[in-house]
Amino acid sequence: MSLDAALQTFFVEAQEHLESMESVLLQMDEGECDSEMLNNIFRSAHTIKGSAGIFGLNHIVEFTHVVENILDRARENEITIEAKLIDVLFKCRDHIQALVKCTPEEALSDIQLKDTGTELHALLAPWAAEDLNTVHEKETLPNIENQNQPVTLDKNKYWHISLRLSKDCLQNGMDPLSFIKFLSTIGEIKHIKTLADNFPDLASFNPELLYFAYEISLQSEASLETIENTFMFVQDGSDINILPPETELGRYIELIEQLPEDNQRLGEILIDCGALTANSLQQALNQQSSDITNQFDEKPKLGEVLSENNTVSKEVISAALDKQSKNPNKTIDNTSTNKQIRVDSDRLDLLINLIGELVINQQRIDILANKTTNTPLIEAVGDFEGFTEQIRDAALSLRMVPIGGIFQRFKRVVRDTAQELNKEIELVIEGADTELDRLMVEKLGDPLTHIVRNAMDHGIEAVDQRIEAGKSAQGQLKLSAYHEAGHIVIAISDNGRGIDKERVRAKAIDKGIIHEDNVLTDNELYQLIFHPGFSTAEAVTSISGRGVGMDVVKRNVESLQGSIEIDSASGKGSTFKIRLPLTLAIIDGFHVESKGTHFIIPQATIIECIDLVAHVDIEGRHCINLRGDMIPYLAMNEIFNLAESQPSTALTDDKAQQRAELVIVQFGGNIAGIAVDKLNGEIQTVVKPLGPIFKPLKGIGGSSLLGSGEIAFILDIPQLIELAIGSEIQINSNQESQR
Amino acid sequence: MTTVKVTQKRNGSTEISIAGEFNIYSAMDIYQQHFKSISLKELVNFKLKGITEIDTAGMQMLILLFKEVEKNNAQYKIHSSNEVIDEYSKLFNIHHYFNNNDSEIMEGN
Repeated sequence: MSLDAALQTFFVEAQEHLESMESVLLQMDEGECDSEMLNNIFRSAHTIKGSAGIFGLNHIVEFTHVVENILDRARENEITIEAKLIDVLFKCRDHIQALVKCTPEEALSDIQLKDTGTELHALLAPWAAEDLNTVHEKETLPNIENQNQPVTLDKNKYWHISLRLSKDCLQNGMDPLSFIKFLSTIGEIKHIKTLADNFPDLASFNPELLYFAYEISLQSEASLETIENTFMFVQDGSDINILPPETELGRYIELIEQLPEDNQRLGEILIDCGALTANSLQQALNQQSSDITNQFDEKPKLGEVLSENNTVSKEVISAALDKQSKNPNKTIDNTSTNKQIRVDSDRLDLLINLIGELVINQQRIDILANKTTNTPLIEAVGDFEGFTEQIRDAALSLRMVPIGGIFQRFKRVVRDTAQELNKEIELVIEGADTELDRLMVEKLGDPLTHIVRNAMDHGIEAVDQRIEAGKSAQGQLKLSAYHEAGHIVIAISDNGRGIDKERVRAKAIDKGIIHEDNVLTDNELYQLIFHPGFSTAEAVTSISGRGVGMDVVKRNVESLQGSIEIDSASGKGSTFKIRLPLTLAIIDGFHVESKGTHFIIPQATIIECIDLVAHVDIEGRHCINLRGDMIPYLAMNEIFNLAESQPSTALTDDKAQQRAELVIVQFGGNIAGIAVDKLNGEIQTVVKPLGPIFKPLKGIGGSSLLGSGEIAFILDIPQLIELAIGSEIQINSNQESQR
Repeated sequence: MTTVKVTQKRNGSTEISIAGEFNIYSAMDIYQQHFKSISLKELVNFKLKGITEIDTAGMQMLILLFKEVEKNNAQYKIHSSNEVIDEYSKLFNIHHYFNNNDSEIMEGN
């Protein structure tokens, strides 16, 4: 792992730990607090500090150390977690996040950041054990003077660390210096032996490789996991053995005996008692499999592997095996070990792009094969198509992430905003497991924040107003996600005062957005909220109310091929529904043609296809009666002003040909038809975004390359339905006014 | 910037003088230019006072040279102390490699 890659891993992991800290703090804020939560939050702070120390990011180490110290005291029941402390810890967590985002140089020069750090340290003082500055100095600087004194190694007291680091660790920017310095912060190095036995002769020496090996004797109260984590960035290719002190062995055996009679495997028992880390277990399991040279070999026992490698002492293994043998339901099954790997999202995007190309090529092969009469070839191409579809689905699923991650973020937003507004608001989350394309999750953060803050500011009433209205003092904000007709719906609802239609209308007239005589449906009225510069709040607050934002919200959602709708009941609350496609990369489409131009309609939106010639327009408008329902439709050739690209002599009835087929589509609660000349059938569509020049073009969401090499335009159904319904409303109101 | 000077004296001894940052960034160049095919048969005098920074790559190269001298049954001397080397060698318990310095011999002599 190179230094840059390791640093990148640090940033990603630090972010994960910060999220975990926030989640624990939110639980604590709700009054929950147990030892597991305290351990979790301590571990997060400790790991951030430890990893930062390895990279010499002292600005993070210095601040986080104090926070860690306080959390440790809470773990040891020396202090209690109280509301005031939670507030400060929230701020500390945010400050660590700010520190992680900047370089040590930036941290030094940013006066505001430094002041915040000092201020927070002062706020933490009531819960700190001793003078913070003293603690800090003592813990962060390695005590070089006192170490390496010739001491007799006392196995009873000290950890023994045997380091044979990977030869290329220097080239990757990892100098053993940083590890030794870090070890000095979690304990005292009693002795270190640097071995220089493996040096080659002068001519074959490579000055960029590591030849030193180390035997270290460490006195520390830290856990095995903490010590092992020191070397987490150099584990590949390194041989690292950490032997606990003998006193620790006694503790492990005691813990093993105390473990409840669960159906545990050897590795799990050893991890539970702290004698083994998950990482060392994985390495041993890998070695266990790699030791088999042929299929007739018996797998070496895990206990033997761990003992041979000196990973765990024989006494502890035998205590664990004893424990296991007492369990009547013992099953040893290593196959279900949950394996996860971290993959750079760019690599996944590249894979999706390549699969996009594969899909296009597969379609081309399909066309070419169908031109031949070679049945085996056609069958083989058919199978190929099936596999391509499976690969596509499997690859797309890699990019899907649960929306829960983004929902969790709102716990903090709701907590802070409620405090700021002096309101009592409960956040309810539903459907957190619903999966969504990673790209969309990233882009949804801002629009959701706007809606959530607006709902809290304008929707949910102040406590006294709620009580006056006969409601509970605590308002409720609900975030939910679910699937609906090939789309994902994210709903943000509140049980506040609802949208005051009259006020919206008055404001819109006042701002000149609509005319006094305009008759608008509820939905149209609500959509005015998304008009640029619209705000009904009587007072502009720091939370919302400047009218900047909701129009941006709509634009952001539309840029994800989604739509947003509002439902509201006066006095009962409002619901904002964001409807999004499942993925933006490759979709199942329906290929149609109009005047020789190819279009793709996303299949998830299609209800049915009908023969338009068999239906008559109602009152000469683009509207038909379909089994009693009035369906407005759009003729593609008219909307996009298409002319026949290749005049066809076979077409005599021009009108019928123009809109011979009607594809009925649905989006949300709206239904409309799309009139085309020809239906070509289902097709896998690789979505290519349109360039900025086409941005103003309404009704086209992207383009795609067909197997024949021709370009097809992907129709933006929500926009087209809006257009169809809009024009129908326009005609209606014109007719009304003529009467 | 690292400056390395290797001088063969008339009396058969060699003087190796290193100054500046002696680390992974300069190690390969220094090794290729000065040490890869160096012959250290007689007394080798190391002048290391000018080293301003040393990391494990730099330290390994010094140890390599000391070992090479010993392998050839020759002797090496380190002239005057250097704070960064002292700090590193204490931390890693390798100060015995530097203990043969003759405090009487001043640099420049």
